[in-house]
Amino acid sequence: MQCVPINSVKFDKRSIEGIERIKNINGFSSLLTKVIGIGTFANIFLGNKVPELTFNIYQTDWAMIHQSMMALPSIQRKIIEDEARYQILDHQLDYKQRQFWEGISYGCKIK
Amino acid sequence: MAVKLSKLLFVILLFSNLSCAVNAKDFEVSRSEIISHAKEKVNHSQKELDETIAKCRDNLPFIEKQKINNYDLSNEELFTALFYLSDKAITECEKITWGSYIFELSVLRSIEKHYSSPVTKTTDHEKLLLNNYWRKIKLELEYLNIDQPKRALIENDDLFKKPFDAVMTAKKLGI
Repeated sequence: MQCVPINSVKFDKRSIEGIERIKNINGFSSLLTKVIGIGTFANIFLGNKVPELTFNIYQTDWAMIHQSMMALPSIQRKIIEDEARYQILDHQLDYKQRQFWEGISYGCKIK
Repeated sequence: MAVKLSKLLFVILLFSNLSCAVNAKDFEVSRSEIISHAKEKVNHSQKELDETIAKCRDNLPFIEKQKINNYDLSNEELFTALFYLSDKAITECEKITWGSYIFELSVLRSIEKHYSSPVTKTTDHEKLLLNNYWRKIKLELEYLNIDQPKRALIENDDLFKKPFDAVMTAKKLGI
């Protein structure tokens, strides 16, 4: 099982809208603050400078985001997975953003 | 005679008042009972829905490359078709339970409105169903842009009629 690190991913408008929708899921932000606190995913999902920044995502980041997601009620995880699925569809040819959304949807299942 | 009639009227009036009082009491009890019963029905259908969603979405198989025929589709068309057909199969799998959940929820809200009670807010389940519905329609229109004979070939393939993992299938196909 291996999570894929992503170097220098920059999000476009559609990804940012998706990130915003995920941020609006009840309890997601407070859970993330509790579980992650700081780090790349905290900057992506809790910060407000996502449009300007590029991000490096490491294996430890993936492990933490999935720990947070597992703490969410199943239906909220499904909302996030559904969002990620449509983002993958939107980013078929944008390798890094697609990898990011695949990671959100599948975590360490994708090799 | 007049006295007897007035007594009779008095008795009738008394009973009709008592009957109104009983109805009023029934109304009070019924209101809370009706709302709580409607909520129970929503909870029951939500439980069934959760089971159906898990059955239709969790641990889906991907379709192996060697099983996929040549449908004469470009990579982009195949990518769209995989997502559309996967969506369609999942929707078919969940449709009936979504129907009863949305029905019970609408009934609950109409009862809450009727009794001027606070109306149930948008649920997470509704968000799951509706947040991305515009994208489902967009995907369908993109899919319908593919030539009909090509669509017919892939649509008639039994591989794509049950829920499958479109993301993993696309990944395994390298598209």
